[in-house]
Order: sequence, then C-alpha cells, then structure tokens
Amino acid sequence: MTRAAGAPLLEVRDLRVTFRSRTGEVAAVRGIDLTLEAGRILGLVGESGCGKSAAMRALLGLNPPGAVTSGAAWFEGADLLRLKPRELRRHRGGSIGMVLQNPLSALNPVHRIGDQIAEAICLHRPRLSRARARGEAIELMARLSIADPERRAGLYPHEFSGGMRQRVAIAIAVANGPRLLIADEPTTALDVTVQAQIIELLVELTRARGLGMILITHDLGLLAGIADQVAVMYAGRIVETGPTEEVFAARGHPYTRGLLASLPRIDARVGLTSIGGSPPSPARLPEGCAFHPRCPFSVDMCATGAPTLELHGGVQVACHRREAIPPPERAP
Amino acid sequence: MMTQPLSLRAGPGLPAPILEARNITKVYAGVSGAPVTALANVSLRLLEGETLGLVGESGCGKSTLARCILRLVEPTAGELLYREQPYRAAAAEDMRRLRRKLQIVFQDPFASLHPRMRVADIIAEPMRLLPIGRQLRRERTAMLLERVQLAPDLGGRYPHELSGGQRQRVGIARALAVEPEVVVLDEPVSALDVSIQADILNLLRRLQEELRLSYLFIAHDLAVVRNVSHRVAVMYLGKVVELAGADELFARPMHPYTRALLSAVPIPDPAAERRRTRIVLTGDIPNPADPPSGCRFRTRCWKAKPHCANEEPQLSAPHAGARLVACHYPE
Repeated sequence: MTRAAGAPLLEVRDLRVTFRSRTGEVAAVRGIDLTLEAGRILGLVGESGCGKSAAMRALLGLNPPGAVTSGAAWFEGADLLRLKPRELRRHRGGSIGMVLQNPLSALNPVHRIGDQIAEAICLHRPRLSRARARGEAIELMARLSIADPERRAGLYPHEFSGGMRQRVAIAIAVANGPRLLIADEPTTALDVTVQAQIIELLVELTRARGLGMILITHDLGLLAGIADQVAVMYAGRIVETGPTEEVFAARGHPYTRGLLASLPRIDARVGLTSIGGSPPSPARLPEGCAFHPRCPFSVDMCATGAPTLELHGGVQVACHRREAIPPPERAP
Repeated sequence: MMTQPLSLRAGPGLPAPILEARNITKVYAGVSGAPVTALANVSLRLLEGETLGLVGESGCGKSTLARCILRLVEPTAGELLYREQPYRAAAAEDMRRLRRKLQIVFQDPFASLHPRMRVADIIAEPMRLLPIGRQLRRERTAMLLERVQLAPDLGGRYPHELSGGQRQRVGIARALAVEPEVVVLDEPVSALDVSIQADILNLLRRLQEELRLSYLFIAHDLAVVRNVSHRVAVMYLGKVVELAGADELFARPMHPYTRALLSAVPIPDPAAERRRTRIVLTGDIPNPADPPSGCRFRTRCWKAKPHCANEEPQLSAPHAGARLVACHYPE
C-alpha cells in the first residue's frame, strides 16, 4: 500500500470509543476528526476525562479490552482501526512512536538503559547485530543530549532523573525513524526547567525529521508557543479547532474562552474568572451541547441539539451560539 | 486583582512578622548513608495578612520547609518564632495550642481526608482542640461549609462522592475550623484541573480578606504563585536564592535561576511566546546529598565564574531596596 500523494500524514474520521462497564456504556470519545500533516504539531488539549487519551490509545490499539472503537484513522494508506493486532504492533514503535507521561512505565526497571534502546531497535530490525544495535543506541542517546552516553547506557532506569528517563523514552520512540509521534502529557510529571528541555527536544525532532506530532496536554499554555494546530476537547468531542494563533485569538467556543480566562499568567497579574461547575462524567453526559450547563451563553436550544463544528472567524467551532458571542477582549 | 505591595522586611511602621524561620537547617540521613541537607540555613519572615509564595523545583526543599515550620518534621538547627515567641523546642502541650493558630492544607485532598468519615465530621474533628460543645460544633461546621461555598447537604457525604474541587474545599474548611491565623498551603491547586483551580484560588483570596489570614503558599506553578502572592521566595537545592515583591520579581528577576525558571514557563498567548527568548538550562538539578561547592546553582549557570565555586553567595540586597538575591553576579 502506498500513500496517496498530497494526502495528510494522519486523517482521523468520526473516531468513537465506548467503554463497556457493569453499569452500562460510557462514551469516552464521541466522533472526532483530526488531520495532521508531516512536519506539523497538533495540540490536543482538554481537562481530565475529556477523552483525549482514550482517542490516542484507540489509534494504537492500546485501550483495554471492552473498549469499542469505530470510525477510521488513515495513516500511510492503512486504516489503523482496521489493522490486525500483529500489523498494528509493526507500527507501534516503528512508524509510530509514543511518549507517555510516566517514562518509568515505558522502561523495564531491571534492564540497562542501553539494552532497552537496543532492544527497541532490534524489534523492528531483527537482522541487526546486538553490537550494531547497541552502537546505534549510544549514538541516539548522544543525539538526544544525554551526556556521557557510553557510561550511561550501562545504568538502570532508577539511576536516571525524571528528565533523563523521558529522554530515554523519546530515544526509544524515535529509534526506528517514525513518521508519527504521539506524545501524551510528556512533561506533566517534570519540573518546569526540565519540561522546557523536553519540549525543545520534541519540537526539534519534529522539525528536523519532518515528523508529525500529536501532543496531548491539559496545558493550553504549553501549546501556545509550539503547536501549529490546536484541537480543544470537551466531553468526548472537539469543540474548537484551528491554527493555534487563531484559536487563541478567537476563543470562539465558550469553553476555550473559559479555560483561557481561568489560567493565571506569569507575565501579568490577571483576575481569574473560573468556568464554574465541573466537567461532566462521561457516564452522565448532559443532553444537547455537553457544555451547556456551565455555559454563560447557553439558551434553550443548547439543551436539546448537539452542535457540530462549523467555520466561524477562521476556526472551527461547535457552538449554537457562536454568532452571538462577542469577540474577546484584548489579552494584556 | 491588584494587591497592595507589602514591604519585604519588617521595620518600624511595617507589619511585624507573624511567623519567622531563622537559619533553618534540615539534614536527613540519606538512604545510602550520606546525609542529605534538604534545607541549608533558610530564613523567612511571613508578614501579617500577606501571602508569601514559595517556589522551586522538586528537591528544592520548599515542602520540607513547610513541614519544619509546622514541626511535622523537626528541623536539625535554627529557630522558629510565632509572634516573636520561639517554638522550635516548645513542649507538646504548647505546640497543640500553637497548632490552633497554624494550619496546613495539603496538595491531594483525597489522600488527606479520611475516606470513611462524613464531610461534616472531617471538618468538625479539629474542633476537638477547642473547648466547645457539640451544638456549637455543629453550627460552626455549617458556617464553614457556607464559607467555602459548599452546599449544606454535602456535609452528609463521604469524600469519594465529591469532586476534586469540592474535596479541596473540605480540606480548606477543616484547616479553618480552629480559626487559625496562618495557613500553610502546600500545592493546594496542583492536583486540580485549570477550570477548578481558578475557583479555589479566588476562594483563598476571599478568605484571606475576610479572615485576615496570612498564607505561606507553596507551589511549583509560577503562574499560580504570581497570581496569589504579595512576595515570592525562590528556592534552589535547599536555599532561598531570591526574595522580592511578586510584581517586581516577575517583571525583573535578578538571580539567573529565577530568570531561567520564569523563562521556562509557557505563556498562554502565541504572540507573547513569539517575543520571548527562552533560557534552556542544561543538565539536571544536582544530587542534594552532594551539592556543588560555592554557589549551588553554578553547575547549570551560564554566568558562572571560577569565583562561584569557591565562595557561597549570601542572600543580600544588591541595591538600595528590599529585594534579596544570593548571587555574585545578579542581573
């Protein structure tokens, strides 16, 4: 299968993920579309329980059994959601790299760091000799700014700091020259100066190698400086998406606007306006627009029909009231 | 919301410190034998009615300092004063009385609330320190629920039935139950989603005004600290490296570490992000069991000179003014 010329790197259409539990069905992802071009960074942002991680895990076949997935996810001519487990395994850690929040969960505590990177390389290139793979692992560590890689390759994960472990996890993710990188809260567990290092590294890799990256985060601020596109998720749906600058400028959806108004900033002392209420449980979603009980702009119609994404002011917004919402005040 | 700047150091005509830590040192016996100095000679004054923000990355000692101040862990050396009364060596009986004035709110409200107690009982429990009867306790509990904006019927629920934001409100109500004057807030919003975080920050500010509370606010999130603090102390590897009024510190950081720390925090505004130059520090925070000689930050500092390895810079005022910096070559 070859990739059609001009087709995006990844095209997700109407992705739905439903978890079956004893108490019934929980719709975690309720029909999302995403398009990612090579060399680009797409930020997927939302609060806990919005479905951002479940959506990404669905692409990689990593949701627990009992999760029912539908829709399509076209990547290099194949629909990831229709691949057999064996075929999907070839993509995972091969053409698709993953970086997770907790690098310890991706590393084996009883194996040396160098061996783990080498193993990831051999898994996808079985004909490579151990020695060559080890050499490549050390080279990769050096390229990802892990100082003194020869010595460090012989250490165990617990002997590494959090930031170094995340670098190793990134080394494993990019070891086999992926075209797509999925990073799920890669810096949430890290200190802010280390976060800056890791983000710089991820952006550099994306730009230099022409990868496409999906960066999943709860931190809108993190995306402001690095993402080309932003998709804001709420209760299993994308409520606003578009080029980063435009989304931050328009804040066309009341939820995006509320999120930004509740964020403190370091460059100005601003009054915080909270959204009020809490995000709904995916097991008990409100009728109509899932945001309407917390929305200052909602009217009767919002409680009945679910809005779809429509172009408004340069961004896609899923809101019945998008025409009625005044443009945002200038940020300080 | 603008807040009145408070002066940095107590002096004539200025509010007296309600709480003071003098040269607090805390040494732990390390796992592998080598002692770890979590706090090295830290001095701080909390002024009445102010919020003093305490920031720094993991291992900088900010939470250890909070625990030392409450004597949840015992400092190895130094002195603690509450309204000028020393209490580091105070007897258990006196400490119990002091704890009425000095309360703490923890990061994870779920871990700090008893799972099998009802909310009303959790809030009422610290009142056993007070000589008040059951009826009064009940009335006060109802008032506290209202004060932290929780519906009265939530008093009958268990912690697992509450949302994260509601649980943190319970944690705050419990701390307020004994009518404290000082509340140590240890990462009070870092476990919460942003839309909930703003509610709690606004609540804390309102409570401070209504009850004239003094806060020691510990957080790793600098934007949050800027938002709530009158003054801010920045810590690195068991030391305070800079202390200044919040607006002053954020507008013009003087210690290289403060500069790097601030520059690493993303601003939720693409245009502002484009204008910034980021200082990306190399390397990790050194092992606290084996801190660098001289200035502890020098191994990651782009301004370090040989002198920095030999002499430890003291926290002092480089200019006339109240700002304190521990650096040989401040900005």
